Amino acid sequence: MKEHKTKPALPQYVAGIDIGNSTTEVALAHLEQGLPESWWSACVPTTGVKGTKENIKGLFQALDEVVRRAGLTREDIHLALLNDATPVIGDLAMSTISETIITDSAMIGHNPGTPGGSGLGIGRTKPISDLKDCGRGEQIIALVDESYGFHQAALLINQALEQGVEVNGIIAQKDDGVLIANRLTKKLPVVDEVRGIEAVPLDMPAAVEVAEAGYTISKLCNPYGISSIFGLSSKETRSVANIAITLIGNRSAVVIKTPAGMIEEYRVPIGSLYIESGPTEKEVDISLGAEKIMAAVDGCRQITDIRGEACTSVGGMLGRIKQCLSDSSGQSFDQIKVRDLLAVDTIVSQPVKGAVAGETCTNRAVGLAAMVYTDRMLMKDLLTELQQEVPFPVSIGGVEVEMAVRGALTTPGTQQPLVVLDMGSGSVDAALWEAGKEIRGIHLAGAGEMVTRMIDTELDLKNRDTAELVKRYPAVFVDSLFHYTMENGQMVFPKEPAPLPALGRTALLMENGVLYPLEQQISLEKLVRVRRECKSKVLLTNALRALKKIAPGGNIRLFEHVALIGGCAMDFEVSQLISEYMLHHYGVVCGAGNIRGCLGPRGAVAVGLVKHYLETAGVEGE
Amino acid sequence: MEMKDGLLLLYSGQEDPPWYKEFLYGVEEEGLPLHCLDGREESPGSDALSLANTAARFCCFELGIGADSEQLILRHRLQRDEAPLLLVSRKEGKDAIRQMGHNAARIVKSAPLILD
Repeated sequence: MKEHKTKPALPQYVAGIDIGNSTTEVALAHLEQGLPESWWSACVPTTGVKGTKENIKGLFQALDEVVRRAGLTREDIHLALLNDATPVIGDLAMSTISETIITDSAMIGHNPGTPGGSGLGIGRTKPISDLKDCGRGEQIIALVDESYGFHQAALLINQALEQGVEVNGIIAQKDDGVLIANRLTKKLPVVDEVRGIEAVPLDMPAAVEVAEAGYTISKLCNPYGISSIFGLSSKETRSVANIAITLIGNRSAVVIKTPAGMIEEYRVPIGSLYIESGPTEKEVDISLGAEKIMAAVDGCRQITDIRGEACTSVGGMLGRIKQCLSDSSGQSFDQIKVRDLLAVDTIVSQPVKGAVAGETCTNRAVGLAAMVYTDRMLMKDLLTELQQEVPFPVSIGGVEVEMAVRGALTTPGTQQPLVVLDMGSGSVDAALWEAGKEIRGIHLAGAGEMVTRMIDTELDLKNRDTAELVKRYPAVFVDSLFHYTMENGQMVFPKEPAPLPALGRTALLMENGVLYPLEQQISLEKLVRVRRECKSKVLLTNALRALKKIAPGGNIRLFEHVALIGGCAMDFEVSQLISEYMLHHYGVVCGAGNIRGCLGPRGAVAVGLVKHYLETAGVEGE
Repeated sequence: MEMKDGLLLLYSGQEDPPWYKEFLYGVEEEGLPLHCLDGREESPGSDALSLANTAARFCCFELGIGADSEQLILRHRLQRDEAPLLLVSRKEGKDAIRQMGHNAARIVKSAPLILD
């Protein structure tokens, strides 16, 4: 007798819920005789840290939104499926590997908008109040503090000049260099807006240089220029090279020679990384840069742990990362084993040690992202909490990365074997699903958050949230009240004048044409270059590493389709950057996923959860 | 009135020195030429706003400054509303008046403004 299997009675409304690090996404399916008839989706920002009960607030917002769209209430839902979060967590750290220290000179190298006069002036530093006591023929650089108005300052300097004192240059505290220069009987270079003028050492040999409009200084940015002015020995010249280099490109500068040893030099050794891979251990010197570090990391088959050399700056970096991960996972410090690491070369803007007016210069740095596996089931506690608050049953529907592939496969034009690259905020996850085989996935450290942190340091924004906006929005330069240049060169002529704070600045073009001006003066070209480089250095690098790791024999060419999903795939340029590279270099079709043909790269896990439920319940797909 | 190759300030009645001389210093520090003229003949009104509107018509940068006995107003010729682009009143003191001079010149130079 033939056995007759009856389908189990399926619930009508099934919700897939994906709680991510930054967004909570819900997909709701209406099942008609076990087949999904219609779908609704919603996406809201995640509340609290992923896997904690603070998530429930955001989850309810998303649920309420999706039932509203479906014209239902929460009570109509029959079953909700939660993703099982990937048991990996990551963290970042950054450390400089070069430092600019000035030991036996002081410098002021800033670019006030309007320095006065032009030329090079050499003399000893004297406060303007002491000019009357200076002798005939004395070579002076006058210091004008803010208690002197420009009229009075010009008067005192003119008097001194009349008495035969050779005033050769002026350092002023307020923004009145042009006003002073315009009232002098002799053309002198004036560097103004030196806020910390009280830090300028007195009665020391100094040089002031202001370039003509349109030019940059030529003497003080040349080590031999400085050595000629102060009569320095070869050894001393070597030590002023740092000063000269940081002054390149300025319109005005001051260098003051101070007795040697006023500023002590102390350097933290950079140190090495130790990469453990089973019984073997590799050592790699951090100062060799990211390329060498990554060659060592990628050369290991299976990393069991990565340590930093004790009492060095890299030791401190990895120590901080491990401590942070230990705190958030609840595992002891010793149990934290770093399983993947991404090193990226970067530059940071740092205060020059020994500078007078808070000058900064760029130094080389390396950024590290590390990842550890935890044994904690992130979602278990949340599930228990959630079940007490909702009338419908909630269960764990499946592992994140596997659900992501199932969801991504609803993208029109894809087929198995399909590779999914899920680029989130903390990690780049890749999964391969070949017909009839188990889904294979891997996780790599470093993704969107690392891009944000790198943009923050490289552009010296000193604000993570602003860096996040720089990452997300295209930039414009506000040339005048009535015209902007877009980053692609297109000119825009608004009908209303630009907001005044944006004038002459690079701004971000947000929704509805709203401009978000950046406080820092960063050229449009630099912003775009840094933004793209940061995205490429982290996301493209990790995309390639991930694909090589899951490809048979490490050969990416064997893949046909690669769908990009996750927050970074929503980015306006990341998916293009990766698509272009993949097609040109490997002939692989790669693009941002379009879940269910309408959601874009968003909601893959939530949709995958419902699909997976239907498959396991014996129902075929859509 | 002829077109002026620089910023143009029109005033109504003049104290000597004018109460807004800090404004003039602000423009000077930025290195811009500035013409100050009596605007009562050209302008339909003697208030700062109408003086500024008139000045904007005769300035090569399409920016005009109007000064009456109480306030300084900066207007752009292409502004469609009636709001001042920048405004400072006599009461606000020297620093604020100087800052408006810097900012008026910086609008011409398309340089970032000094904002508090």
